[in-house]
Amino acid sequence: MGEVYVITSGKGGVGKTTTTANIGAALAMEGKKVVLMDADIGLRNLDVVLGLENRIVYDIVDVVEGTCRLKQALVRDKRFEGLYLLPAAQTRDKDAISPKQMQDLCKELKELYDYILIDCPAGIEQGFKNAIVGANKAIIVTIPEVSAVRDADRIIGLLASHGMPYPDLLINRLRIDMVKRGDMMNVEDTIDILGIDLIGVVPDDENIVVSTNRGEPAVANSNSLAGKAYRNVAKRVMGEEVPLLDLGAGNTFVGRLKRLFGIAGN
Amino acid sequence: MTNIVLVKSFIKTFLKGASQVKGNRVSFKGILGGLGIYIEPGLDIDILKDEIKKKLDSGKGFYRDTEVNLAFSGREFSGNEKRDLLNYIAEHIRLGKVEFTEQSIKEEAQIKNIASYGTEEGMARFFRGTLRNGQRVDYKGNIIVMGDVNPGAEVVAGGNIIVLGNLRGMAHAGAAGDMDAVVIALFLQPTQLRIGSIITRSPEDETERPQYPEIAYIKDGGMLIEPYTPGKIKY
Repeated sequence: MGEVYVITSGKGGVGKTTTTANIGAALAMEGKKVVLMDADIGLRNLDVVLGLENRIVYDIVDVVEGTCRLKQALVRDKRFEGLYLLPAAQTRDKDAISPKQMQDLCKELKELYDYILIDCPAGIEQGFKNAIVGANKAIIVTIPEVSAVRDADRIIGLLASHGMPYPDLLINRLRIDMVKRGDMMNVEDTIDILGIDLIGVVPDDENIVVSTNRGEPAVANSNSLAGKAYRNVAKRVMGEEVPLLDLGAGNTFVGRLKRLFGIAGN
Repeated sequence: MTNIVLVKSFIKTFLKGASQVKGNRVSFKGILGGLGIYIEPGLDIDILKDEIKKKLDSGKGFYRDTEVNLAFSGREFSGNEKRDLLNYIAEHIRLGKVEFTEQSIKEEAQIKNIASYGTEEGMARFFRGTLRNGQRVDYKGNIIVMGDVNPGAEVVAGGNIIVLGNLRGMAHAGAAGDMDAVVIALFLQPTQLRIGSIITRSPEDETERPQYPEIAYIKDGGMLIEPYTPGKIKY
């Protein structure tokens, strides 16, 4: 029996789709069978980020309307064994699927795969409600900006009223240089307001933009710090205990010495 | 008073409502779920109606959609006058429990004591957990939040508000017009704070988290924020 995660944020542009693609790819690299479901009907992106756009034949609306079988709509990612995409329909809107249909779909997928990650649309309207209804766990993606944290807080409240009181928090696009200058909210400030468990901190990384444009998840790139952070998140999703990446002084000799003697601030 | 009152900051008051009518012919006091109305003996009933109307208008949304209890005191009313008055008020609000106490002016002090139970005692609602952006707790009596009140959340009480956590959102104590209501929080850093008809916001330059519990209350028509030290401050 698989787990259904919804990846959500409230605010747009904080990295829900990138997070979905990367955690999904990292889980597949760990040998799990994973379906990534794009719930952003009418504004689909997950296929592009995964580089699978040109292989879509059927989509999620075709599945619920019975135009095709579930397996026909799933696009297999050839680079990651066990990774599948269930694309959104681009020419329809959020009302094309009902919450009940979504629930049934999740139930069916749960029987066949280890993890189902749902890429939730921005906002708190029908699309959001559809995306969360079939999920039993949630990851809230936020960036260390006041407006994004406000929206995340709203989403946490809404999830609680839908029976998901303990979502996990992923802080995306953290810039440690800005935090050190006091120009950006730090991890502690963010957790202090939101009061939920942290599942990972992903640093701001130029590689992400490149890999997103190319349709290659950053987790496959061993040089990407963000990719490494996402691989760690995937391990935590699987229940492993992995310490947070050291984004601070870096892995310089002096930095390691400082940590060894407990001098480093973080 | 022997203690030194530490006035941390006068918060800029940009809206000020009149809670007392000129000459004190009619005075209002928040009570549990409504208003205590003290009337000077012999006051003309039309003037009284006028003042009550003004008061209800100033309370805006708070009286709407909810039953308002009224406790009249100070002036005697005949049966006809009572009927007339209540009919008039019922055009504006939904009436809850109505009480008439007929005492003379000499007993005003005593009456005030009785009428002030809105902030002295009464029902309290406990909210356990974090009040998040977009959530609201609304109660006629006192409210105690056992958790944080985050930015974008609202706590609106007829009486006092106590937050055992961070108050970062909006709190409105004495929402039915009780200027004696107070707001206490372990960490008081609200986006906006309201007591009775006074609305204030935190100073722009003060972004640091307070290191101690604080209390907000109304004095001389302005809101004061002070460190909360039990038993020391007489407010």
